[in-house]
Amino acid sequence: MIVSQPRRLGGWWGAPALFLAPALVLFAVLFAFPAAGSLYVSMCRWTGFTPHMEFVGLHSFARLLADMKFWNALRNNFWIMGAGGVVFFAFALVFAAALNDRRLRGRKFFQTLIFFPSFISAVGAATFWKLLYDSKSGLLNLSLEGLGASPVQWLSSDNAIDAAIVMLVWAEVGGAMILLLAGMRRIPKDYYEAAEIDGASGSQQFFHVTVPMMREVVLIALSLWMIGSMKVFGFIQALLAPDINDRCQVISTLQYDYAFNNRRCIFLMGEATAMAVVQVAIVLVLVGIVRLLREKKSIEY
Amino acid sequence: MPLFYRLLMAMLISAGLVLTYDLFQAQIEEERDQPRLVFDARAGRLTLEKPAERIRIIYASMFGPGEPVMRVRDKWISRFEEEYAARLAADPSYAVPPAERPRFVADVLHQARQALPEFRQRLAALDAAGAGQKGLLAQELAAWLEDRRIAVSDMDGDAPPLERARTLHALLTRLETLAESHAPADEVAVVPRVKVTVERRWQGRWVLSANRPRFLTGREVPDIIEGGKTELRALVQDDYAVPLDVPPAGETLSPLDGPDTWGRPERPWRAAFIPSMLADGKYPIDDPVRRQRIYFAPLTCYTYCIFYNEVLFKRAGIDRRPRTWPEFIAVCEKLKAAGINPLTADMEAYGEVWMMWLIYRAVGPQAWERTITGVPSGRPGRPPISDPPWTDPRYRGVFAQVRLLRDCGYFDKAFAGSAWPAAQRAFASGSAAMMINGSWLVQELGGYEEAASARTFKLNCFSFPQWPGGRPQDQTAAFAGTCGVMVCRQGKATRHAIELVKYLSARDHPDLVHENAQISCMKDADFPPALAGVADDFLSAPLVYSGDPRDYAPRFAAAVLLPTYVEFFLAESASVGKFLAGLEERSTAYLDNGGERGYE
Repeated sequence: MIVSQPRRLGGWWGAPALFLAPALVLFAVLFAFPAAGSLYVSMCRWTGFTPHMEFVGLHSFARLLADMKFWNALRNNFWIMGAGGVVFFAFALVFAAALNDRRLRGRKFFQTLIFFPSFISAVGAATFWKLLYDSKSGLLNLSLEGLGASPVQWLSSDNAIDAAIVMLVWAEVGGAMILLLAGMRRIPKDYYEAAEIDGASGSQQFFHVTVPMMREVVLIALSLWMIGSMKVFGFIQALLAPDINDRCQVISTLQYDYAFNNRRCIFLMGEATAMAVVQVAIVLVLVGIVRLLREKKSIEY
Repeated sequence: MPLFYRLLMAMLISAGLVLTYDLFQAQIEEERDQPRLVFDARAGRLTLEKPAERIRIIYASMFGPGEPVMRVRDKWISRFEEEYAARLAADPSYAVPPAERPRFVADVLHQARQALPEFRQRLAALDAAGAGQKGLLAQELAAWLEDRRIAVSDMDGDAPPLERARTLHALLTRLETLAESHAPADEVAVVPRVKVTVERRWQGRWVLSANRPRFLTGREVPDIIEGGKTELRALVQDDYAVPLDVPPAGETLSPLDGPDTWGRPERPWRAAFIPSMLADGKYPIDDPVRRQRIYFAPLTCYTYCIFYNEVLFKRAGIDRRPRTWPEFIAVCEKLKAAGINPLTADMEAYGEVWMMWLIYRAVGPQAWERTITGVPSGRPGRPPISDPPWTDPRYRGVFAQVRLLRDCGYFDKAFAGSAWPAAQRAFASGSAAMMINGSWLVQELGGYEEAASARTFKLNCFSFPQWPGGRPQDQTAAFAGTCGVMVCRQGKATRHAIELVKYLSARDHPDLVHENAQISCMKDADFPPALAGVADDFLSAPLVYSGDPRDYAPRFAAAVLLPTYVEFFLAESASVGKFLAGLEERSTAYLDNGGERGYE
């Protein structure tokens, strides 16, 4: 029997192109075009008030390289990502492991309790922490004084970023915990049973079964944390605004300061956009590294 | 039904309700725009109101929703809407041309004729009704007439039911006469109806940034932007503002030279302002023509002064306010000795005011400007130089005093880690005796003062102390930063917007002064009683200084001066010499690179 081949629409690429077209058009209109526009703005001198943009090439990028505020903000972002990340994952793993233990009573309650800060808006959470941290009448310092210890300037330029990390971990750890918990629950019980028969202790099971089997989930959570910590804005702005010390800026708040701050009386859209371009490039590199790690060795079960 | 579909249905119903509401609103607005007959029961006069002429003014403000100044402005803007509409309706240019009258009258009269038979029936039913029902039926009949574009005045008031019935009979008679008239257009006066709407956008301090896309696209651009004078600089720089001292196209008088319409019309509007405040409406920008123009109409101003808690002063045995800097330091010492924190502050907020005031008193604002922007070096091809340089002994003296406040422990210990507005709370709760702030603090602490007993907190203020050895004119000068409005060139109702500014300048200052403790820029205004502590010095000051380096060197101020100063001010320990040498080095580099242009 001879079966006729179905006719292809417009040659070999016609049908796929037709089906992909709506998505490509949306991608072009909503992402590619604005991204190219941003790249162009980063090469211009522009206040954002007039259509007139003066093309200055890489001038804004050169200015950023010489701008200590930018390097300081970048350092703060990496500090949040690195130091904050260690604390963040440590808490997320411990919480997830504890909640994965069926012997624990009230797991739902604790899960909700830990996840609860994720429901609160960044402004609400930061306002709450601002009141806690306040050096004159904050609860933390009042408690320290009650204990006879000397008060700490939590929001001074030396401590503000560390204080912000504590707040960020508090606010975000619930989401990572849920992700890790879901990963843990996906691990087949057979592995634990086999490990138990082989005489592995609880901690050995955790480090030699749970952690390696969760590699994929951990890398996803890691990617999300890295992207989030490079883009963090709302929490820092709400905690430290209206007058953020230059030493406490992160890239996003500095961008906002350069592009929109009325009180500076100058609007540097070129430099702010150049900063955004650098920020995206850094995020892409970081996510690329994580992808490489994921592809290197994947575990199937 | 599964939960998903129920939720979907709930969302669709919500969206449908919102759309229906919008449609009804649009229809109601459209109905209001129709011509209508208005019966003035007292005068027995029937007039025809022409469809509404709509004027929309967009007013974008630096004040946010709920702020005390916003409430005052909002009240007066509402009054303006009514008064200005009435004024325009009486303006001959809005009158209905005689040729158009018959068209309007014929249209409305046709409707009235159609309604007459039913009107008679309803009125007969009203007459036959019992006394208890008469009032309600009369109101229903008025609403029925309203639907047919016949409005009756005084029907919602407290008039007794019989009076209302009489009014409706009078209207019926008048309509019947009109229906039989051969020339009804001559018997009915046709008047224009003008609807003035001021669209308020209470956008807060970032008002300029919030409207930037509108300036860029030219759509929905505010006719008026309200903000601090310095902060609106970008609009003048980019030529978006209307000069107030230049006659608009086709007119002979500039807005400032035109009459003070809503205040004292016999004088020009310019005469309504305190001259030094109005002169502050110029901007030191590059354009040689524009820098001569007045773009900013100042409505209120603020000054920086030292606020103190009278209760703590009394407790420390201080019975008079310090007039000079040594006296001020002695007061700090006395308070400290009494176990009271002399000063409080938040780490970032207002720390630079100490620098600004001390420099004004010790060096003078003009010299400060010369230090930053430089003077010609006198050598061909060489960039300008700072004169006096940052290393001048006077600056050394100023910054040594700034450090003294810190090093002698006059500030409360927690200030370097305190975030605004914690210091204000601390001050109001009696944990420190003084704080430097803008005159708006009175308004911000109003609630505290009311709540606190007079035994713990009583607010007062004094002018910044004089600096022995400084120039005499700098010791008696006052500082005033202005807040006001700019009219935008791209706005669609520029002429009406200027009227609104004139109205506000004439009307709202009594409320602002007495309710909000704002200092008015208008000549006729009182000085706020809540700032009595600085009233004499402020009102008798022969010179009023305004602005700061952000006016003439915004990039230098933002990139060098303020961040460097904040570091110096907040540091546990710092060397004045090192700080000034660093400032001198960066200042020289700034001038060598072409000043502000070098930063572009």
